Amino acid sequence: MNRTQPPGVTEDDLHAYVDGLLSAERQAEVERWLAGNPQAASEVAGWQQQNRHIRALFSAEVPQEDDARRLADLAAGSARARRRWSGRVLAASAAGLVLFSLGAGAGMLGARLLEPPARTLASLEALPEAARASYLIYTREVRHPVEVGADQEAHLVAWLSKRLGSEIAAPDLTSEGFHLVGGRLIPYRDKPGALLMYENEKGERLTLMFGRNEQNTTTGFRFESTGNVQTFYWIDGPVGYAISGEIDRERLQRISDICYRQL
Amino acid sequence: MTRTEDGILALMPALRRYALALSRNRQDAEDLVQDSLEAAFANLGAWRGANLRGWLLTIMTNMHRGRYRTQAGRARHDAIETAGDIAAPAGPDDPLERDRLIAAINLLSPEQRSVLMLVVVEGYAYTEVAAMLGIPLGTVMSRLSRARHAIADNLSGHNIVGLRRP
Repeated sequence: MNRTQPPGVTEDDLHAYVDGLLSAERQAEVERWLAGNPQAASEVAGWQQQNRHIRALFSAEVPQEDDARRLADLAAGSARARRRWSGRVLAASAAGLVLFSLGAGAGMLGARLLEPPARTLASLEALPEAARASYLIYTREVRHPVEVGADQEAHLVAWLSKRLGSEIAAPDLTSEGFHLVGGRLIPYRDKPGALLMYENEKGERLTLMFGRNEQNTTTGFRFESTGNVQTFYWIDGPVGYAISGEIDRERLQRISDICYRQL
Repeated sequence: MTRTEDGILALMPALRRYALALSRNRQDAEDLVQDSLEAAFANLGAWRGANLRGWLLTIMTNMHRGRYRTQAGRARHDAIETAGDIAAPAGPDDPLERDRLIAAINLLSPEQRSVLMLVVVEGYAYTEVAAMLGIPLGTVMSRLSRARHAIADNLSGHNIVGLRRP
């Protein structure tokens, strides 16, 4: 967004608008301004959605059974109060030393505080990335793209189903001009996953990845594009599915529809 | 139980979610709540008798800052571990959206995260946040702005298109 707003409405106003901190009068002014600034309005709508989702995410905290007793122990300074609520062994705590630096000002939040946390991928997030990586690695193989060829399809499907722990099938994509090349076992989040590869007359290849989903959740149908590789993916209970290819999105979506129906 | 203890008891959910946002995993969050309350009880004399929640959240903020200093050199597991760490399924219905949002919050700096939480979840006005954290109002606004832009960029960076299932 262009951060220089016309005179009158500043970005600070937009934040205050999102957080419901404006007077009724000012709120109406900002609303009028937003009506004529669709780009800012869409950004503001995004922030409002962030707010709703963040609140929902953290709203589930409820008082815990032991809290009253724990507080009484803490207030009394009893020995039991030293027991870790987290169940951890109590480490020598320097907590008391740092505490009353209250109001020491912005200076104390110096640059040396910490590095940004390493990004850890949540399990669902890992699916499209793993699919893209497998696609890139194995479709580039000329001589050994698969471990078991399509000539042994029944064996391939039975073997991968067994290793994955869920029944899978090799969808028939001939209506889109793709035939099965074969498949292989791949690691997915430290567990066995499966990869099927398809190819058309022009030598274009697609991969269909299966990964185990421990959380047994179900998601909508998603599309993700990184570089030239497009991936459609979804999760149905115990298995996550991802179809990757370097073909246009509409074709890939048609193919995904076919797979979804056949799986 | 004293009135103060009653007051704190009612605030436990708020203390826990702020602790969780700061420390990003359930164990550290519990420890942070416990240590903050222990410190609060030891220093009840310093409490001026008003705005118990603000006082406790400020203690927790400072406690967490100090902790980061002492733990900065240690390797630690640091992300909100999604399912187990957030108390119950909540937030965006789709678990993928949920995970993305959590990942985006995890990527914020602790300073940004604490401003965002105090404003969005605890509902404090900007001037109150400035007073609690001991920072100028302009700093509150710039952290809030950066946090929101960072989350939005992070969520859109994947070029995700949600689709209706066939």
